[in-house]
Amino acid sequence: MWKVIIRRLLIMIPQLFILSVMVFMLAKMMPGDPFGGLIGPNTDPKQIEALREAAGLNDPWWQQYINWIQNAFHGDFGMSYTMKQPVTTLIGSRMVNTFWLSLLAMILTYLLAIPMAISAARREGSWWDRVLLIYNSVTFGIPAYVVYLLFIFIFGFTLGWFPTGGTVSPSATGFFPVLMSKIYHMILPAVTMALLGTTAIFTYLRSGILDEQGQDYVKTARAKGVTENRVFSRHILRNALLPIAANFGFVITGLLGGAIFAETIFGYPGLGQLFITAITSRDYSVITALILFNGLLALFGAMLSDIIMAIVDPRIRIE
Amino acid sequence: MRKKLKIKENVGNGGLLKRTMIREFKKDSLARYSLYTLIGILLVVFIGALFIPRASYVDVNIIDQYLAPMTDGHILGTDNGGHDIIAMLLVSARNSLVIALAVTFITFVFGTILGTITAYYGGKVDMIIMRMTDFIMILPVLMIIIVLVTIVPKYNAGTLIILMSAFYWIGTMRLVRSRVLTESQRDYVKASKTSGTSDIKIMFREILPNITSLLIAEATLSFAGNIGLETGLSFLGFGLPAGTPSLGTMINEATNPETMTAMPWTWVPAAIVILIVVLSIIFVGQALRRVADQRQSV
Amino acid sequence: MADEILRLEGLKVHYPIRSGFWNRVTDNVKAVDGVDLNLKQGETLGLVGESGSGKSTLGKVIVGLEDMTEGDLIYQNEDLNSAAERRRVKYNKDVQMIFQDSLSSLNPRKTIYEIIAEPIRNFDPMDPVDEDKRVRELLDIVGLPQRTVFQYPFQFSGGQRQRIGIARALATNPRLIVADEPVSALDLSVQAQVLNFMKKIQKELGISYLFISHDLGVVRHMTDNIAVMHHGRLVEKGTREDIFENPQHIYTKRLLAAIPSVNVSERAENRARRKQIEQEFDDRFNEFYDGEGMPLPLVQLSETHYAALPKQSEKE
Repeated sequence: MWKVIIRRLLIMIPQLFILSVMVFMLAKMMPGDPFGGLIGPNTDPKQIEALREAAGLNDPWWQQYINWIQNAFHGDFGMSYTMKQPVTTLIGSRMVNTFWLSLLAMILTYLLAIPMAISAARREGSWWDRVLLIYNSVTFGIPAYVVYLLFIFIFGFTLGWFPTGGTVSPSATGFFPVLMSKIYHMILPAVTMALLGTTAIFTYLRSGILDEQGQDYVKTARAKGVTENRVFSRHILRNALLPIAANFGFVITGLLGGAIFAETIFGYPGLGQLFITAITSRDYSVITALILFNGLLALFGAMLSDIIMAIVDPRIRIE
Repeated sequence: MRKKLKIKENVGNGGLLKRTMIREFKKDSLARYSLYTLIGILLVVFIGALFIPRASYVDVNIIDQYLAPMTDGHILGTDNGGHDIIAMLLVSARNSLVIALAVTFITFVFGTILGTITAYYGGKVDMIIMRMTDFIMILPVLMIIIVLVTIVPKYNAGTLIILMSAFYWIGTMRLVRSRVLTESQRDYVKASKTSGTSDIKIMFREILPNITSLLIAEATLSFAGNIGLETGLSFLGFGLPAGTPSLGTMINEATNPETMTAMPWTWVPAAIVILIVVLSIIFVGQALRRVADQRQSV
Repeated sequence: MADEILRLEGLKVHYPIRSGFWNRVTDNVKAVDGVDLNLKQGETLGLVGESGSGKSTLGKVIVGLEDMTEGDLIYQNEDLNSAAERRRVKYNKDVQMIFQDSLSSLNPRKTIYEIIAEPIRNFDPMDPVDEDKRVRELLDIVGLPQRTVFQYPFQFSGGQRQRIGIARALATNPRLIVADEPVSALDLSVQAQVLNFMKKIQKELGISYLFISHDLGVVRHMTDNIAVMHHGRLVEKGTREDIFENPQHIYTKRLLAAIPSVNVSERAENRARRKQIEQEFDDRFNEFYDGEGMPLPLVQLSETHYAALPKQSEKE
């Protein structure tokens, strides 16, 4: 197991390198530089040139890459020129919001998907199983943003059950009311995301249970007279849940991509919304940092998945 | 009776696939009605869009802005440019469908060829390509596409197709690869080798015909996904350029809470069209997938 | 003595095992490890051994489906070690294969006609009328009705499918056919049918067979000469009589003892003998195998008979 884990960790090194080079290239492709905004009718081109020289923008590209990486290591991604804040601070404040929203959405997704999968698999081929299969293929296939829009239109604006933007009501004061208000603001987006996000877990778990049900050891257990419920909870479910545990890391991977639409539509100020704001205002230092951050998160998520798998799966564990 | 059956069996393999499909669609009424709906929408959209003059969806007419439905002959009203919603729907749906079709086509052709070749030959090249795709799969693809859309010079619909295809061929490639890999283990591939058939022929004339039904099913489902992706990007404002309306651009009206609530006719029809089209495709695709599974077990 | 058509010299097929932290090649699986063999025109050579003995790999090397690591493949006095050389002389026109799994060896999306015509089109292209004639002639030879020509493999029974596979192998008038367990997937009643049929066409067309099987009863029925393979090497080879009447190697004896006997009255006796031979195999394993558990080199016992015997018993 350790060998697998260490090897997996080592794969991260070239991956991190390639990711950083890609993001750097993307950043270089973006038009303009931090001093473009300073150019006015009265500025001396030589002065700008001097500033560029001092910032190392005339260095060879690899020198610039090294500088950029060093700064990134120190958490220095420059300033957001539209929001006049260091990029790191900006991302930090938005990240908290995205984190809580994603966490809630993820918990709700598991709470929905696992019972769905179990009830479908235990009655394979029944109308209930078919309904759940259709539900999951529909929610997987339809564009999520359309559903987000319809939900906020119906439950937010028309019925007025939920707030239509922000993370907390300005009138809330005190720890408990603020907390409640925050949760209240997250419910509609989180529930909607969870309703649409069950497919992967549902499919994996359902087919996992069905696979295990056909295994010889399950038949043996039944033949020995172990009760059906015990066979199910002790043998089938335990083995079928393993891949779900490993899937956890990939949930992190898809986190920000999904957040772009959800946060934009539900007016929730997280990283996804920040990305769209930054893109719209061409705030390139923020964009670069967000892509790098999200890429890192995804790489670590994938690594986490593989390592969880190595820990829970005895075939890899004992090697 | 018996004789008739025999003759039918000899019709050929194309006939076999067709018959399995017809049987599946007869059995599954949801898939059948979806297919009718889909064909109906495609006909209406592609023929209807021919009769919409370009000026009527490009030129801005402020006077007619946001007319409510059933005013001045605009059955579904007008949008913020004063364009008739029905005309917009036809043109937008056509654009969205064409883009999604193009992306599906490109990703499937490219993914199928690459997936087949790497799976058939295996070895180092296969391993390197797999590592590469592993890596790209975990990248924040949506963000990267959005960034590229904003920085590519002379951006147009073609660019969007290329950008989307550039990232979404990977799923097809991996799917094809895994299927070709199992198919290559079968003895008929070895028999073809000893019969002197060239590798290219074995890959594309022997192996691929065995997975076409699967490819058709997956391409259908991926078509639905690509509609969602394109309209999603257009909705955010990073899809089709101005002057080429998309269903997503129409829905973009909903980003403003005021238009969303007060003028739902500007965006709800487009949302409904997307949902109907995508759902029909999904149900048809599911039926096709069942056909592919059945054929696999023959 | 008939002409030799194929000779193998020192043939080795090794697969690298990668392990350890850096996935380096640490060892080799020796699927085939130094095999010398020759085949004469019109003869049937049986290749027997347990699963994993390397007999199938050897067969694949002979038809060119697997590359050899070392050694020589000499076909009609010509060294054909690389795939390019074999392609140049249209080797597979002469050397064909019959597969074990008849269903998997026929492309489910092709008609019988297309399947049988495939080697003809590649090696011996002819105009469509002649091709049609040839395909129908082949169907005749394998005893399938003409009307089946545009049917698909799944419409046939296992025995019929194996005949289709044989028709394909015969299409280009080959001189050697490698048959890898050609009947082991078939029902017993159909087995005899297919085997007799294979013998019949051999007589008519003068083909050589390399008959790979783990079933000694079948091998006895089919072959003139037999080679016994174990752990990637030959442990004994000779005529059918040499092997069946006068086995020398402990592994051959053990294989022969495992043939079930139909005679019920001698059941106890047979079992006792089997046990004794098993015992002998275990006791004398170190005599007959080297320190790594590999069989010893072959020693010539008579003009036709070779066995991998230890040095001292050679002296005896």
